[in-house]
Amino acid sequence: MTAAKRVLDVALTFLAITALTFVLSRFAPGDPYVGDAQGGVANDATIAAWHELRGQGESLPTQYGRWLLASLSLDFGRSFIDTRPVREHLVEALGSTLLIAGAAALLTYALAIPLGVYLALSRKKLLAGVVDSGLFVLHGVPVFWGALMLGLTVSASGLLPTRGSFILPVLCLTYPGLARIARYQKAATREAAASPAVLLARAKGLPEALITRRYILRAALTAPLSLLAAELPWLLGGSVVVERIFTVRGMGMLTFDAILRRDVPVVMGATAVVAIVALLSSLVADLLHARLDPRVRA
Amino acid sequence: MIRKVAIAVISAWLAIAVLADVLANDRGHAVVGWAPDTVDKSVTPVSPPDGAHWLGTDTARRDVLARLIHGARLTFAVGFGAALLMVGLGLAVGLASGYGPRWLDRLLTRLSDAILAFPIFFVALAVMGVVPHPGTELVVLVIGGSAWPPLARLVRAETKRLKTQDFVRAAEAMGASPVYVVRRHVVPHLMPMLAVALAFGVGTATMVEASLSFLGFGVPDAVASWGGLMRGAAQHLGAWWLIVAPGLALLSLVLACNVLGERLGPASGRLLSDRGAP
Repeated sequence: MTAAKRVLDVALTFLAITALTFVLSRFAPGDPYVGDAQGGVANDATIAAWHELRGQGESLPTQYGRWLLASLSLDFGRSFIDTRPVREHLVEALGSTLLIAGAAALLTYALAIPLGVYLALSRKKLLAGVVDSGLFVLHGVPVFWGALMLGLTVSASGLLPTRGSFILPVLCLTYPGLARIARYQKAATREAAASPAVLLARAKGLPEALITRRYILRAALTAPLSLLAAELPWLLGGSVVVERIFTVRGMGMLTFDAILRRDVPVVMGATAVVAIVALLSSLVADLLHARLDPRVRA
Repeated sequence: MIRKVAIAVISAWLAIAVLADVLANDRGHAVVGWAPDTVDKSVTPVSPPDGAHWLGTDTARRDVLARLIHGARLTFAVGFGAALLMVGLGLAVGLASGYGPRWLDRLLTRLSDAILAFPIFFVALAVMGVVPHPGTELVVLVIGGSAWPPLARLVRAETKRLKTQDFVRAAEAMGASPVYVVRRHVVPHLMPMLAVALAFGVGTATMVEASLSFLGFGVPDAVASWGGLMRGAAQHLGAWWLIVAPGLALLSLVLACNVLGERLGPASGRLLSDRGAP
């Protein structure tokens, strides 16, 4: 698929997701724009301003159109809870989430690729088997439980603060991807090692180190990049859970609180920003994969 | 060997789910003398395990073990329900994509790519948070309705491969209708793949349900669920009895499903490496 087509897809998906959220927020119990915001200081003026901006009484598509136009100029309205501009909330929250998710993505790949290669090529069958089983178990541990258990042990030992620190959230977002990608890398490396090219190289009498470097690794190392496009959106979803458990003020926490308090402008703004970040990172991942692996470009 | 262990674990949980009402009730003659919704006013909320409550109590002073036993019901209901929905949708979309007209293939491929490129967990939260009285059916619908794209991809690729095989061409040449060909010559070949997808699907759906219930956006609080039990631990980080037992229960079931899926067929590697649950 060409890059232009991918960009068009991203735009269409963005429209579909924000439209869905918009329709959903209209179906919320009670009048979504009035009164149901709990525990907030939103006064009539804030709500009236939101009405004005979104065009109360007009058809749903018109209201969505207005919201979309305003969002394109980064005006997401004001929070029903504290009347601050939604944009300020988003800017504050996005930094933490991007930092955590980005660090987790880097750490995941930095650990998973060598580990997968090691598991595939190691002659120590017992050790490799144990590590492999460990990864299989890790893959079945839901992030929220992993985070709770980690929080429990760390708070009992008193080594690290369980709230506000970025270390634990990053670890919790790293291990599921590590399990997935290391096992994928292992399979890809095994496959490359069994290819006819490697057999021929061995028949020619090339040294084993050269075969590994030039024929196995070169073919296998780009394989886990195909998972990157799905990994990044997954990290954003997982951030909801870890931010809640470790009390990090990021996008996940912001969305979570806003949904609970029916803070419609914040829910809409956060969904739009998460959608655009997820779609763009997934697009970049695909383009990166195509750039590094000529076999994907066809 | 490991496969037998997995089957034994799943059967054991299934038996517990079926017999939940006999195992734990407050009408006497039960292994655990508490019903899942009995409030014990004589203890403090989130009290640690003791002689009366073997696994302690939760935030609403209900017995953790009784809720764990009854939670197995919900886990199976949601796990199987959502996995069946996922397999059904994945099969339908994959077949339509692989055997149908090209425009339909393009449309469906785009749809599943879009779902894969988006953190579905966010949408699930929004849906669960916004719908007036979200019940168990909605959890099944949200999980099953968003998990099908990886399977649809595999079904599509396999259908396209089968389409060029001689036995399919022969059937078409003899005038067989598309529906007949798909039912008679394509679907039977997909069965092993579907079995693998179902096994992994139950595991994944169970994890997602627990995550949603943990956040408070899953099944209603009145329904006993493993994820809901652990919700109390978010406020009480030291309350290990709310986390350890329900979490191990969840882990044992998810691992058993994954082992079964991995041992069932060759398509498993790729299915497993697609994303799991948060």
